[in-house]
Amino acid sequence: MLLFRWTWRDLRARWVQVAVIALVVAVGTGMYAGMLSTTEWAQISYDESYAAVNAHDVRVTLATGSLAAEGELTAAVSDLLDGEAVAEERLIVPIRFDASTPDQTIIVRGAVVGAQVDASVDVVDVQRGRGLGSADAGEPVVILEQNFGSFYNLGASGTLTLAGGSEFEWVGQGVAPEYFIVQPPEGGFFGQAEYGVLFTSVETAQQIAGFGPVVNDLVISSGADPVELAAAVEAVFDTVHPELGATVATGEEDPTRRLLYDDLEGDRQFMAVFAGLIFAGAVAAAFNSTSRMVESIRREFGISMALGVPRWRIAVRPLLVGAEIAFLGVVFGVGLGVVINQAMKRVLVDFLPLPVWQTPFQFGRFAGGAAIGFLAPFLAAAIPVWRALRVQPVEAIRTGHLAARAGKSSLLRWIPGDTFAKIPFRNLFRAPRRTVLTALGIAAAITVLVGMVVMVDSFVATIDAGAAEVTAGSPDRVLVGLDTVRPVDSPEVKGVIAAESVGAAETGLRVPSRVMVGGVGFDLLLEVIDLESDLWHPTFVEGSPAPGGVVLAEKAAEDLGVEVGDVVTVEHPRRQGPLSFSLVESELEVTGLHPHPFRFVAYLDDGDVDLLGMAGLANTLSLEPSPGSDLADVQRELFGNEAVTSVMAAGSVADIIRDFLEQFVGILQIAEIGSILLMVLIAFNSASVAFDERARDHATMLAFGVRRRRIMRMATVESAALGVIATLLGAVGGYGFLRWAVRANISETVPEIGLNYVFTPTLVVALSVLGVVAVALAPLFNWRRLRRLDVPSTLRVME
Amino acid sequence: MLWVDDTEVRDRAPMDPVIELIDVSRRYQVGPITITALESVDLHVDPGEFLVVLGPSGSGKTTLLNMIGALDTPTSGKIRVADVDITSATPSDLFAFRRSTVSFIFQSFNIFPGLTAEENVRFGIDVAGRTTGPSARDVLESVGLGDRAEHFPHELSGGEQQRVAIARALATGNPVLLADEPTGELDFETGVQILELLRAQATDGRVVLVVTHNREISRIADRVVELSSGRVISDGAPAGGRAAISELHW
Ligand SMILES: Nc1ncnc2c1ncn2[C@@H]1O[C@H](COP(=O)(O)OP(=O)(O)OP(=O)(O)O)[C@@H](O)[C@H]1O
Ligand SMILES: [Mg+2]
Repeated sequence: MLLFRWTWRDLRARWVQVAVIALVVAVGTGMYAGMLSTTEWAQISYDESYAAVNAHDVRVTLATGSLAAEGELTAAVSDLLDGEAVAEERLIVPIRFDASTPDQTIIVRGAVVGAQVDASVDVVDVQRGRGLGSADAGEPVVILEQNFGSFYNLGASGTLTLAGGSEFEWVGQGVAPEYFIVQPPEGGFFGQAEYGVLFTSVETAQQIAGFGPVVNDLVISSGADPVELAAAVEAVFDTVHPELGATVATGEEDPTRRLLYDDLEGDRQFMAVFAGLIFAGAVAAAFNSTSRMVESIRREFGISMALGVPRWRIAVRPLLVGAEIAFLGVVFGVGLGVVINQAMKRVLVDFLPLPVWQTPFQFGRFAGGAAIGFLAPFLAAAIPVWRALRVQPVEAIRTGHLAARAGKSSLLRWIPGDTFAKIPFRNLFRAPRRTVLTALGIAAAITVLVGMVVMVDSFVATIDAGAAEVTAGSPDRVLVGLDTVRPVDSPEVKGVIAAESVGAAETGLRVPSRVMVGGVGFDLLLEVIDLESDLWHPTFVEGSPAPGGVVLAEKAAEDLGVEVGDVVTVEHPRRQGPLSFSLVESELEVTGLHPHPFRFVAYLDDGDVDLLGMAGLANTLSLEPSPGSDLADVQRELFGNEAVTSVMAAGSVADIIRDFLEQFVGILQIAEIGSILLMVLIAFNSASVAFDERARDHATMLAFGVRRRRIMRMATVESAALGVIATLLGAVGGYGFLRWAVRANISETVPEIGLNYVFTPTLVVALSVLGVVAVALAPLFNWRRLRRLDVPSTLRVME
Repeated sequence: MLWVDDTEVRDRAPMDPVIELIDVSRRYQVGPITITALESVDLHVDPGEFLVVLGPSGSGKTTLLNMIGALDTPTSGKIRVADVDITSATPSDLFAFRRSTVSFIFQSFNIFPGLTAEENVRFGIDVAGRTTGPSARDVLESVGLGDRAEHFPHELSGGEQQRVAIARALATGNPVLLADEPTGELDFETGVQILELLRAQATDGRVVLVVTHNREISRIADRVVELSSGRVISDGAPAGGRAAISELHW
């Protein structure tokens, strides 16, 4: 019992340091366990969500415009299905609708997904309001896709108007597996701002489409191997119904599902490295501080040994101290981890409204974190004890205090200035290993901070760069999409141009194509426009708007390994007859590069439209609202035009992604706060232990009349130097971390985006200042201790 | 030079005392118990004196020295050192006083482990803000350590470290040197050398106060002040007259 009281007194005497070490362990353990929990949760929740809505194993999609009679699709596959299997037909119709509220204009395009009201495959998980019942079949009643609904803060029920004028009531909001992440048909993700999905009965969808009892989509749930089943289904459709142009895909191939699961893998690595870094930093720091604390009582070991106290008795006390610190740290850490868990849970659930969110306590993660979090301070206490007990007592007494050594100070003989200028740097080098460990701890925190900040900034900058590019010189530019390729002098196109709210307008073409060089190739969205238009034209980073070539994104050129003047193969459609197209390959010279960060954005001058055989045709318009009008006016006025499928601000993609980032920023902020906290704690602790170790030096200086302010200034310089080392390491580490994160994560998940690194001098300076200042100021917390330093007693103590 | 051994020559006109204590007491309150470390001490020290404060452990020697060095303030009484009334001075005056008037030499040396011998001495110059006079190297040479200038404290013996400490105190150029048990951690031979060195500094008006509990050491002083339980019990030439250092045994 005496032993416990004694060790408890040891802790109390240094309770600030003990608390700080425990906090460092806690932040490390908590962030580690808390952050790593999320990827586990995501894995479980994705799996269970897909299971809960019975996501299809195989899906058959008919070519755009193709329709099959109700029952025809099910009949085609019935022979392939065993007793367990279910096949359900659906009708998916592209639409535009108006769900404006008194304070916002919401006119968007999207789709109506008509399915059986009692569907058992790809079930809509209704999270707000009510689901559909058999009474709703054929009625103007829908369920709003929830990502869309929450983006616009729409309630559980309300009314909306489809293009054409019919009114619908939505009675609930829900999610379905194909829209867990909203991906509009022509690409992009997080499209909820511009793409609204309405779930309804197949009867209602048929009424909207107006072609009678038809369907165009089939989802199958089966116990069989999906790949084999898909192949069999494909074979049937190819032979029996070639006219339908059916595409068959397995559930695993669903773009949303792929995105979620691919991203998960990236996230897992990212989180592991990220949490691991923080954890390692914390562990290093805790180890360092604890061993310094124990080191400072090492002399007592020697005395006890000299007095003949058995070794185990001597060892028990410091070991208990280490264990107590470790225990406190782990207890705080688990608590903090749980708090972080809660915060992350909120962010995740808001961000991705899955049918099932399982956020079980990750016992394994916490246990692992706790074990290491416990071992670090404990070993830190044990190692010096072990070392001290092995030597002769006299040595333990003599070498006692690290503070009495010069370490590697001699490396720094060259430091100019008076002794006051030298002391801080000499001190740093007196215990180089310890300085390095401390710097590494702080650097790990800065690495994470730099990585995070740069990542967010880079995303924002990339998106902004894209927005700036597409709105250059025309900030209010509006893009109008048409349902199909139409003659520029058709009434529908003319109607758009003549609209009152529309000012200057130009027609254009947008066709999917593919670019290839050697073995590399990827999809392009090729736009045919006037490359020298006054309304808008792309910026040329390189090259010029010469005819007869293609203008690629810088990122595309980089991925293809081509430069201006090189020739690339572009596979694009060419019109053969009034409504028939074939795919042809053209060798085109790269005449210019534009800065849009999306590599699929490419341009062709309208002088070269014959390449596509589409002179006089358009499927897009680029326009500016007339003076006094805005986007909402254009949207409202064109809502009645049946050929118009979308009316969007040219820069809207940026808003959506920025919005998405804001959600993500919640997670990043937790990480940022954690790393700043860690950095400050480590610096504080290091400064605080240094004050203990330097008490004699300080007392001596005070006896010589050196002012406290001056002593504090030296401590600050020393700390700042440590901060500089740590910040440099951290900045380099952060950059590396970021490059890695981009390579491992972003470029694999979304190769389409060329991230603009924002590693600007100002940012570096700002982060460095933050790092250096936070660390430099840490000694100031010891001002009271310096004031209260009992000079005579401190000087009296003998080494 | 400041440190020439001319202790034998001591023929001066009487001047104002460098150190003057009038009825100084110091009491410590530890819980309900009052410990009297010093009781009504009166003391005058003239320029150029080499004075030993003698007394058994706990008699108040260190307390007295700390009072003179303004590290501690008396509970009652008045202390003047080099015309500064340190009992009524502000804390900031006391810092300035320590920089410009007194210099300490400690039993456990307390030289800075991160600085070389020469730099430790240089610290004395820097802290006093002295711009003229002998360089750190000169002072180090005067204590016989010219060839160890580049060495760090852990590369020096205890006696050498104490010499560096003396050089540091000398380098300030301050008129009062206060040494608390400067030979406490040293062997006889080395201790004698250190004392010799210290005695040699009591010149040109500089006062050197050495605290010891060793009666033998006190024999080399011009004057011995003996404390017991916080009171001065004798003050004068050492019993049996002043001895040469070579006559000491301990
Ligand atoms: N900070 C303090 N608090 C309480 N008592 C103190 C304090 N400092 C000194 N004393 C007491 O004052 C008395 C004189 O102490 P001082 O250190 O001056 O003795 P000393 O003569 O130097 O002894 P030594 O030869 O052992 O160094 C002692 O009884 C000591 O316990
Ligand atoms: Mg003493």
